[in-house]
Amino acid sequence: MAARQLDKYYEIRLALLLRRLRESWALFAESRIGLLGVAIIVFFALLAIAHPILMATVWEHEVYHPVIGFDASLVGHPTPPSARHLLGTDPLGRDILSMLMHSTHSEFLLGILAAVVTVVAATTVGAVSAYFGGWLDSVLMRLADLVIMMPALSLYIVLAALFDLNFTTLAIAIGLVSGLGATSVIIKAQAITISVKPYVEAARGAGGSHFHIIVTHMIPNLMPLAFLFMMFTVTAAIFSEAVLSFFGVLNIRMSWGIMINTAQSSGYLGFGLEYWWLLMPAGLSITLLCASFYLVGRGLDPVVNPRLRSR
Amino acid sequence: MTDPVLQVEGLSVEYATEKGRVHAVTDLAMTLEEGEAIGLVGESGCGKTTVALALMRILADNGQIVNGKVLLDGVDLLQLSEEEMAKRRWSGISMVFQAAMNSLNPVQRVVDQIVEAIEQHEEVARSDAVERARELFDVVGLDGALLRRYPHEYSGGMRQRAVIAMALACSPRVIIADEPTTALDVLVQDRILDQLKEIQSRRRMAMIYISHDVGVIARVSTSVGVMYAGRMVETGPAHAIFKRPIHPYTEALLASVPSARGPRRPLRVLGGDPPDLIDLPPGCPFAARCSRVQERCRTEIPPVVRSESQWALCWNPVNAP
Amino acid sequence: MTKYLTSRLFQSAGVMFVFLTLVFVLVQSQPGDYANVFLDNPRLTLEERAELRASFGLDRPAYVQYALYVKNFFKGDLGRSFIHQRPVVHVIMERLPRTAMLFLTATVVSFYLGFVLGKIIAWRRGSLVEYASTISGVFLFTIFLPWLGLMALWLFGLELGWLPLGKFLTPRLWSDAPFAANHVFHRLLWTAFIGGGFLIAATFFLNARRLPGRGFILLGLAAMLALAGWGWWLSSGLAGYAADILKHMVLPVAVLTAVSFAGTMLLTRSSMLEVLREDFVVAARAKGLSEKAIRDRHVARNALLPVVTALMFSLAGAIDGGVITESIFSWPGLGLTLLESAVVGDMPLAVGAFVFTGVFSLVAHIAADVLYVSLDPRIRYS
Repeated sequence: MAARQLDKYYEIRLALLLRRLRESWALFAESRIGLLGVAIIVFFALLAIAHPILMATVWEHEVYHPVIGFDASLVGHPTPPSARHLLGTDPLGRDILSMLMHSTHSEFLLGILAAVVTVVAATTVGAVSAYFGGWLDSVLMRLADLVIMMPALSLYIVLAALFDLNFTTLAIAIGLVSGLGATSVIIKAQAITISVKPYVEAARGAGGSHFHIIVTHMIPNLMPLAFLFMMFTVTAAIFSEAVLSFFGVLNIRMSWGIMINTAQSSGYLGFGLEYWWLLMPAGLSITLLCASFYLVGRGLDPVVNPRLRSR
Repeated sequence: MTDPVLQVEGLSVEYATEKGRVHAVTDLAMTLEEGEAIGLVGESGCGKTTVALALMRILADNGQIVNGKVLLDGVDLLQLSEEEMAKRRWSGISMVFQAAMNSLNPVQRVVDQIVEAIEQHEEVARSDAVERARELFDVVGLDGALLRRYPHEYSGGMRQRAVIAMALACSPRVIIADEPTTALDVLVQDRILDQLKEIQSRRRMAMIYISHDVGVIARVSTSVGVMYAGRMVETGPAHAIFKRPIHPYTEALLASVPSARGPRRPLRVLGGDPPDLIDLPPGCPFAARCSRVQERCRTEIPPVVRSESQWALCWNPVNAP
Repeated sequence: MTKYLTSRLFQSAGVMFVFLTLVFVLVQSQPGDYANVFLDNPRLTLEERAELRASFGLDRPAYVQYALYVKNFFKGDLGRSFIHQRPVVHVIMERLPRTAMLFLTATVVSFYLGFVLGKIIAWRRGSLVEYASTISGVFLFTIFLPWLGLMALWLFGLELGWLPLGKFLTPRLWSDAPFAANHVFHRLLWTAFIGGGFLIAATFFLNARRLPGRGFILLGLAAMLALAGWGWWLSSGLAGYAADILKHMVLPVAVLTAVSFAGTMLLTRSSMLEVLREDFVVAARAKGLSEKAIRDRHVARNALLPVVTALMFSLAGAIDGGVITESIFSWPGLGLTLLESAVVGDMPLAVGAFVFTGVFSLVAHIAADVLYVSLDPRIRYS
């Protein structure tokens, strides 16, 4: 590519960013597990997109609605997979595939919201802790100690008992627990290496305010590492929500965990694999989507930590 | 004259890497008598450490000895089975590693590490082995109370002495010292070198001293071996090499050492880089940087040029014998 | 070392205090209050409700409640369970040994299994082994635990009928037993602690003296202990009951171990590979030591350190895994208590169980910390 004349500041930054992204992608693509993770995510994303299309075109609303649908043409729900219901129906007569696809959409949103909260919390705590040091650092790190030691799931259960948890509130809770624990400690360590770099000193000498330095210099350099942890947060979020829904303590209408919960509370799981379509698709989806984000995170590791690169 | 303790002939070592086979050592020959201390000197990457590792047969997984004979008291080490070789390690030939901190197990007490070596090769009661460790610490000038400490509690100089003591534990025939003082400050370096020299001459041990520092080599060695790009380009008694080097590289090496005495003169620097060890040039490896290079230097391996017990590989030697 | 430990204890006390405060804040910020579900009984008149609220101290200002709360905690009073009509502490103490048994067994087995397997696969390298272990490791790591639990229940409980379907004892067997199940549990725990502690102490003692034939001595000691223990159990007539409990423990422990050992295994492997590159491993080989000595005394012993650190970070997750497992297998321990009380709105018990879970976690972390310090001399002597 011939060198272009870049005059404007934002053009330069944009070009640098694009090049960095290209290089990162090339590095990421080297790891097969990372690509596998991406493939699985794409698959589920397609499912999520396909659902409203199907609902609007092929599937009748009364029968295929994931929450209130009911197929009166068949008797003895739950029914095994058939041409009409590719994954069968659940004890309440709803189409399993439709429920599965619909839930995908909420799982993604939950995961992304939790991840964003994590990144914001961890980056803020890490940067502030590293930059200011002193008692603020001590307090924040003690808080991180507490969060690391606290069993998250037990906390969510108690929260569910105290408050009414829906997707949004749960996502925020998960995001905070993920972000304020080990993640913030690791990001703080990274932030410290940045805070002692000469350009930060130069910025301070030039009269930059604390806020400016943190936002312009530290945060952008912490982003790659934070992005890595986002992946693991999504895994944790999807897993936690599934377990909590399975326990039946959440205030949400439909998710994969709810599907399993419905099956179990209706007593159909006691027959083992006879009613496999009630358990397998949901359980497999949870496992696959959790695993996919984890794999992507693992694939991102060499990109973010140059030490880990094979070359 | 007795047989040499160590006799190396035609030793060649290669490493298999992603980029190709690295010819780390080519056709190396060396002889070591009892009580002799040979100093192996050369630039970083010339193969000195590889020789040491090859002699003990502890090369990395991708390293391979492709040719040669290593006779320790007449027994070819390269022909032995792994078990046989393990028996001779440390008791026949031992090593003092570079950067002593890293060659000590951080979670084990130092006394245990020394005793471990002794118990591996001799049938002794543990108390006797501990006693010997104490004696060894005396020899290197360390307090016996330090034995029960852990490596991280030692200072740099202390660690180096401890590692030397450990290398002496089984009274080996040959000790290899791989840049033992490079990581230390000059004062400590001084003392350790003196100590080493004293131990070596008192016990009449055969020693191979490896360094890139010509000054250190000059202090410790009775004979010198100059290595370049995996080959031994010159070897001989120390005083002969320093007074009358044959090989142009040796001359350049000696000339690059600044002198504290005499008139001030500009430092002579050798231009260029050592050759790529994967893709070695056909002739003399030094041809590209040699001031005395001739046509045949580039195409044919030079012959051995000898003067009494000093010899070199050169077509156009500096001080022709 | 004692200095380090005392400072850690102080730190932990501080963390505990912050934890208690946090729980209090959470409970206070609940819309309505503590006794909502309980007092939402339409048969209660407004006066009765107010009276009951006062008896719970819910009419006092927040800071008074806080002071009472903290005072009561140190007195060991966590309130009364609405449902069980008993002090919360009693209910928890009843359930705690079962959780402790499950947690300890699963943690020890999974750590040991993971470490040994990791050691082995690190020593024999080969891309197929690496690939297979990474894939299976990741799968086990992210598999949905309830799913795994349910399938294990189905397979081993229903289909094959080898193992029981849940709970921790067979009622038929126990119906005319003259003692409580907890009695047996306590005995089991004591056996495990004393036997295990003795073996650990013996290991340290023998290692310090470096007597020859350590392995055999230890094996002999373990065999003697096992026989003595077995004899003790048989003589007390409790053996059958203990065996019943152990049989019920197999599946929960197996499931919990399955999802946690993989992480330890993979970490051990990469840790071993990193340690292999260290110079002291080359030095060990130069000393002519056997492969086994190098692998165990030098490489594994050093590779152990980061793995124990990782264990500390995974403890909270292991406790959570225990909650899920208890729920699936109806194992009546602390986790199931937390869940059940949360579902029905028995707030004193739920919050009490949660506080206790936090204490449990804290103790586990301190224990792991002590373990790490005893393993790394660089911390002990500095």
